[in-house]
Amino acid sequence: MEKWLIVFKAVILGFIIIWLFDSQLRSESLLFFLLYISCNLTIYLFQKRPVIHIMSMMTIMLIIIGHLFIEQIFILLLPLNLCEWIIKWTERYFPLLLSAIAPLIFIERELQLLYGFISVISMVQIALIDQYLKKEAAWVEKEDEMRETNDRLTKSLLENAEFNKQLEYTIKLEERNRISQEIHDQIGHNMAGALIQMEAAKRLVDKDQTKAKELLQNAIHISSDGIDSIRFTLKNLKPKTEQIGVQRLKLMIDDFVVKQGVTTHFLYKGSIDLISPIQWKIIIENVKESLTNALKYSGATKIHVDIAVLNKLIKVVVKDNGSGSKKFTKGLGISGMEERAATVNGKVIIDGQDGFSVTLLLPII
Amino acid sequence: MNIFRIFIKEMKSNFRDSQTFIFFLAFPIILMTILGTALTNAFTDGVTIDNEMKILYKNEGNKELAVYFKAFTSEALNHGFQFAEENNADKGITAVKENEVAAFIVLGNEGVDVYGSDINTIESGVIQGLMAGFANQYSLLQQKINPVIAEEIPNDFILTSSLNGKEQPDSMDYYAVSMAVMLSFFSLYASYQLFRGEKTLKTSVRLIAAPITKGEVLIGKMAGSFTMNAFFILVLIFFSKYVFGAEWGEHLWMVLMILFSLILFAICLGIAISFVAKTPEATASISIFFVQIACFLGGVYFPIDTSSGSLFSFFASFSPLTWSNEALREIIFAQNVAAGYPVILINIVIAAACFFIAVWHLHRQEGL
Amino acid sequence: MNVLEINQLTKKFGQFIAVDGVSLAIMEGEIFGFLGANGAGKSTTINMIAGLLKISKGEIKLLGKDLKRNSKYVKKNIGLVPQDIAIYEDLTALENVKFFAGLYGLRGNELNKNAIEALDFVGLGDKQKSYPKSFSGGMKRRLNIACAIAHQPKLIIMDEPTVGIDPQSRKHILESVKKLNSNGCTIIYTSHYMEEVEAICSRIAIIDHGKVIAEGSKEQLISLITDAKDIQVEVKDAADFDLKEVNELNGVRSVQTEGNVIQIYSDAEVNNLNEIILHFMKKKVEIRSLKENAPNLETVFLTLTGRKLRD
Repeated sequence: MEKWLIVFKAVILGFIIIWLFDSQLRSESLLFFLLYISCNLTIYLFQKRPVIHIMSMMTIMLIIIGHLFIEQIFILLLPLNLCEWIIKWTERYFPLLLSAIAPLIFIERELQLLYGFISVISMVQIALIDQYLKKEAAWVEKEDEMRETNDRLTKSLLENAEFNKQLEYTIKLEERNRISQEIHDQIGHNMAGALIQMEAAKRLVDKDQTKAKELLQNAIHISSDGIDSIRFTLKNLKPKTEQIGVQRLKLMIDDFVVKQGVTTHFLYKGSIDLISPIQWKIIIENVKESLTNALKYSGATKIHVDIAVLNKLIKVVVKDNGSGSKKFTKGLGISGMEERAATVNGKVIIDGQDGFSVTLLLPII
Repeated sequence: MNIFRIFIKEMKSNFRDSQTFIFFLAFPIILMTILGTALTNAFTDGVTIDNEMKILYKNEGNKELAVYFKAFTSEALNHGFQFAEENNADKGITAVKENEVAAFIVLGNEGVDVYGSDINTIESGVIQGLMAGFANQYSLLQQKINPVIAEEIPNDFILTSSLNGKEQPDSMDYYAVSMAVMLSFFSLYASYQLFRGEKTLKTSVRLIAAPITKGEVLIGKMAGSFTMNAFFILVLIFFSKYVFGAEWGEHLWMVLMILFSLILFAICLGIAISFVAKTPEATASISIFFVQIACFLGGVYFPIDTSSGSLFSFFASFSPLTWSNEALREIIFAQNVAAGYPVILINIVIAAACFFIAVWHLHRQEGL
Repeated sequence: MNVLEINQLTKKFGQFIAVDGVSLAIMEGEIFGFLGANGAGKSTTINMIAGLLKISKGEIKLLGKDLKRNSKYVKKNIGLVPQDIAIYEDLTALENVKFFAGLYGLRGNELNKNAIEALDFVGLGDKQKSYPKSFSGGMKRRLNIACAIAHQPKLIIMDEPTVGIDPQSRKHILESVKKLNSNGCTIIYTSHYMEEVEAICSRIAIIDHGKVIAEGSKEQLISLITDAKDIQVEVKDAADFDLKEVNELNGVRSVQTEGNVIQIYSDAEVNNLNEIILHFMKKKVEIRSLKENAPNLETVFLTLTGRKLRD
């Protein structure tokens, strides 16, 4: 914008200089030119709004003074500077045109046509440039926004996939641990018992057949118990996701209590087995964020974490007894919670009226 | 069309409100009656031209001018003006200051300077009118000889009417004009409520929800308010003219133009105030304060001399009512129609400025 | 067909977010209820739809046309019944209706006819020439409605139209809303009277802290939180009553006794009260009292937000 405006201003300035050259160039006129140029340069050099406004006003005043006391033709510079300034205040082009043309009534007849012509051109030029700039700015903003959203979504998608994979692996690992533990505790014990019985039977088989038979029978019992318990272990000891979820949440809360020394109660009710792993992940992350917020801003001494599984909804509430806040700004933390919830069509409600409470609502899939 | 609907609605609301009539008609008329009759003496004392008015003059112009002036003074003598030559300007001015003479005049080829008495405005106003008439007449005569000079001098004239001495304002004339000016400015009281009223009635919600623009509402309301106030002004003028016999001069159109431009000014100012001030209370108090100060300084209640140079008169010269009041008296009593144009222009320019403030605020804010 | 589509609508007042990414679609012929506590963002949403407030973010489409780009068209097809009574005291009832309908482009005979019809519709036909000064609160409310319907809008927005009026007028207004709807009008209705919303709305959005936290018919909303209801039957003597037989009844999930009170836990959707009573009568058991705790919107609201609709 500025580049073209400067060119345009230079053209008009050049026109005026040539115009005045015919008569004579007074020293006041020279002073005016210098002042005009320096004022305009200041406008372009300083990007701060107040400076721009003050300098714009001064330039306009300078032009009017120049018009009144030095050379009338200086008024030709007015429309461009006026338009340039006014466009910063209004979005409409009509006041722009009006204000550019308004001085027409005050100036001499000979100059009126020229002035009118220049003011209309200035106005059109500035309006076009302004429109172009606004469009460009809007595009850039939109593009940025889209890129940001894209990044975020990709990231959360990846995160979720990663989480699922990891979760699966964890489950396997935990299962394996449990099984080996179980085998060690139960079956190993049984086997050892059976082995001893059989060893004794082997020794007794020639001396006391009935005793040996008894021992063997014992070993058979123990072995079949062992097989049963292997079956049982394999069938039933698969850990449940809700156990993992609750466990993790509990661990996180306990950790928080230990580290921060804020009393925190955790309650859950309803069939929490309906909560899917990905929902657990979101719940845990959001609870963590809420706890941190409560600690940071609210000055709470007591925090409740409640999970309720309703018919078609999961409701998680983190509520503290702190100062709350009627007007809070949506920071990154809250936006993050909302975004996480949104990935599974969930909602976050934040209420700061009585303490601070964050409610997470997730639909059951 | 929408503008017209809003305009009609405004008219209905305004004319159904009996309080409007009391405030906008009865009040000025009563005030006019009281002030006009009670202060009769105050005016006749200073103004009567029964006593001869002494005027000193100094001629710096050419001979031709001197000849014309001589003829002029002899005619003026019949009407109670006594001219005497005083070639020392300082002495002349001192004489005026000490109130020994009514005015000191310096005649030049370029024009006539009048140093008026600062104690009695009306007296010096009369002399100013007298000399303006002389200048015009002189230029008319000049025209026969030298049309080039005459071209630059306005063609409206004439001295006879002010020489008649009949059209000296008495107190009723004075208050008829100032009440009309005051009433015009009272439009501000109507206009600052134009939008506030919609807000308190909550009807602004409906107006915004309707498929009309805020501009239409603004224009419609202004037109309604303007018409109502113009109507009151007309009633006041005719009432004062035919009941009290107040003088309104021969250029009633010009008088009305000035008063209407003042109404426009007041309406736009009122609307601008109502947008700029944040609360209804602030709007009301700013408006009332503004109108009362402007009325007071504008010489509505008693005449104020703006040329005296005192601090008070300095402030008085800022009141829009002062300009209008003075211009009106020029037109009515001195037949100086040209005095009206700058006042109309100023009024309209300020009105436009206020209008733009209002438009800007309307555009920026949500709702009305 | 969707009459109104709202997409990610957001309104900020400075830093405060009054409406936060609301998305809704309202279909033709619906009475759509906005339910929420005071200050939840209902009115702000409505005011944006009606064009009273600028939209900070998001879009509103009426009949497929964007509000920002076709604001005249959209405004023309909306009738707004504001929360506050918005009428001119110095115009007669008919003049009020005609003035406002006139702003929507109605002319001459049509204007006159529609205005009179609108007044008849709200039951003020005989008060055409009266000034609203002489009206009761309920009558003013009705005139308030008449002013919004004379131009026959496609969508009527009613923002708490029954605040502070007598039961008679309230009933009249609710009936007019239903009648308007059966004449083909789509209606948005906000209220913090849960009973009103339950009674007339075909679909409801629960709004809290500027967000739509749940949306659907009354039944859908209730089923979000539970699919069960509680029936408590107090009998004279529950000592040797056979609970198993009750358990067999349609929809019943479990039964237990507490003293002389028999608690029946049943599917909310099954209407089995008659059957249960009949069963008790057959068994010649004397019923002392009977209480059904079926969940309603108030329960839904309370469960979802942890607060009551009205404090």
